[in-house]
Amino acid sequence: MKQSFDESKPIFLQIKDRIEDQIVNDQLKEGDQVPSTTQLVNFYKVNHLTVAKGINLLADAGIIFKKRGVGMFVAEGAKKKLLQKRKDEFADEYVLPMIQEADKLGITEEEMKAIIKQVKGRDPYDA
Amino acid sequence: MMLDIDMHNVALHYGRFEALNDVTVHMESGKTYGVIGRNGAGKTTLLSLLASFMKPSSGSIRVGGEEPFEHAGIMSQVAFVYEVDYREEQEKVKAFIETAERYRPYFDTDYAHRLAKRFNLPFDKPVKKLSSGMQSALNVTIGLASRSPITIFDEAYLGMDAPTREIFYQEVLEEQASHPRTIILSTHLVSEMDYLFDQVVIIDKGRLVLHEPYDELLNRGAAITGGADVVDGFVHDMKKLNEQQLGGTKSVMIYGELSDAKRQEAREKGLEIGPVSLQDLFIHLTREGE
Amino acid sequence: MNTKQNTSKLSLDLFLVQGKWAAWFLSTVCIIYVVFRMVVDQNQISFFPFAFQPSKIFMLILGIMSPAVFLTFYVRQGITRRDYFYGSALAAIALSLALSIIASIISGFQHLLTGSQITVHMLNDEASLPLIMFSFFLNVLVYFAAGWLVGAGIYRSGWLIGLGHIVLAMVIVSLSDLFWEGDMSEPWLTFFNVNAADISIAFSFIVTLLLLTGTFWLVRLLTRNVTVKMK
Repeated sequence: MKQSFDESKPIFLQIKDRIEDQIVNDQLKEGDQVPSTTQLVNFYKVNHLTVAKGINLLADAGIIFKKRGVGMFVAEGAKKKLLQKRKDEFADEYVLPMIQEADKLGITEEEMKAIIKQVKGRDPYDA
Repeated sequence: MMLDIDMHNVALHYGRFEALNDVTVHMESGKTYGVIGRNGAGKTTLLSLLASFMKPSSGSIRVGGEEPFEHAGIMSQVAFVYEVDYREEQEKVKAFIETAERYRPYFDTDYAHRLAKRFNLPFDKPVKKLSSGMQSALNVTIGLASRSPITIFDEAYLGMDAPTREIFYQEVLEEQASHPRTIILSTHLVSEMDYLFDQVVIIDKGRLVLHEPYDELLNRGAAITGGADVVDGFVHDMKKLNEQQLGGTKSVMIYGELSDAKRQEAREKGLEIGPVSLQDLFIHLTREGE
Repeated sequence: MNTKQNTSKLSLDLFLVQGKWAAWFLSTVCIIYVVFRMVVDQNQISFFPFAFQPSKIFMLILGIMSPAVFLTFYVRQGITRRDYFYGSALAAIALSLALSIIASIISGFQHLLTGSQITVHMLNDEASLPLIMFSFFLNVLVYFAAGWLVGAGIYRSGWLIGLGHIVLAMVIVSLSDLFWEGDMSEPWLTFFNVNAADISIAFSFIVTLLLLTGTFWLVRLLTRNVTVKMK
């Protein structure tokens, strides 16, 4: 499983991202038990200190909470929080690089709008 | 029971050959240690000293504050798993498990049986007739089921195929979570096992190179990649472990903490800072002077 | 872990393992004895003296094997060298006793069946059974101790220095045999110019006990801090 991580980002952040993805996709629902550190280590073959670092970020952000002796669970409102956070990051993570690339290529704002419209209208399975 | 390990200026000589020299190391109980070193670096010597198989030539060893050598209370709590020569061993697998059960104070027989099943160990077969991978699986089974406060696996995976090693690693992780103890794994399969380690001990030519928490050690290594001139300028006062060049692009592996200012500087210069694996650090830290 | 507990556990285990070997050994000796009596024997030697020499050799071999087979094995189980030593010594004493008792019992049956007397050649024919048994016991135990000394010497220092221990062990068994008029005593008898018949039984016992104690003590010295072989 190790190879499925890339080198662009520290692995603990990628672990955190994956758990967040599962919450956003409803694979993990609010109140559900999150896999234990040992399970995650066994699955991803990543050092448990690294896994713990990712998990702790989620706990600090209130996305998951730890019950001593029981395990970790998805907090109430976690999905909403994550969606809000991702919306906040949308501009920086996706729009900004797009604009930078567009500037390089000399694509105007009007042209960009047209492209967005065109891509959105496309049959997603016909990409 | 808390059994911290303290080695102080430990040396071991065989005649004029120095197998270990001036090793000082503290190992806190309850953690998983990766002891890595090249062949003949002194890993087995170090571990067999902990298991009281011999006495150090000089220096002191303390386990739980006591000298372990010939200390019945300590020796019974240290399990040493290594590749045993079973060519003459007529006894059956079952008898081996029973002996360990008899002499190991924390032995868990049910767990030993579960493990034996997972490893597909045949109970009624004489040990000498097992394949070397199966013999290793037997050693590992007894080592894990002994639940000794200090359990040492000295390249215990020898002869095991990849799926069997995988079972071994899984069991180490699960045992460490359910019955925390000091587990020492010596290996040169670093990239395969590094995710198990809390702490890394590297030895080379009988000397301790470093002992650090896994994450801190990894933070110390970085690969700086970018234009050759810029990279050279950036790393000129750092400890370089390895250099690679492809056309005008150069990648230098450095060892040492990178300050935030340095990281900022790298970003401004368009340099990429990438992580370094324990395997790479190990290879290059023990290559010096060759 | 309590070392007393370890010593008794270990001596029981060793006694059972070695006892199993001894059972095989004695069965073999019995078969050979029966064949021997039927085919060649003119002197009608009884079982007890017949089993005496092979038993000494059996115990000698057990002693030689002990460190290589059991020391590494038990230290690997977390047992100290000290507990190995006391456990093995106790097991050897128990085994020597068992051998002499079983040989007596077999001879007893033979006595009931054929009316032959239990005798040993080194004691006169009027010697009491306990005395005969005790001398059997002491003699095989000396052979174990001598073998153990050789085994420990080789385990500790390899074959070359081990040879020195073999010489020492030969001195010990031949000295012991001297007092029991054994096979290897000829050179000593000539050397000291004595007649074995002149030596009192009590003196023989005392000397043998001293030899045993000395040899066990040497084995303990050799194994006290010995480096355990990883094999």
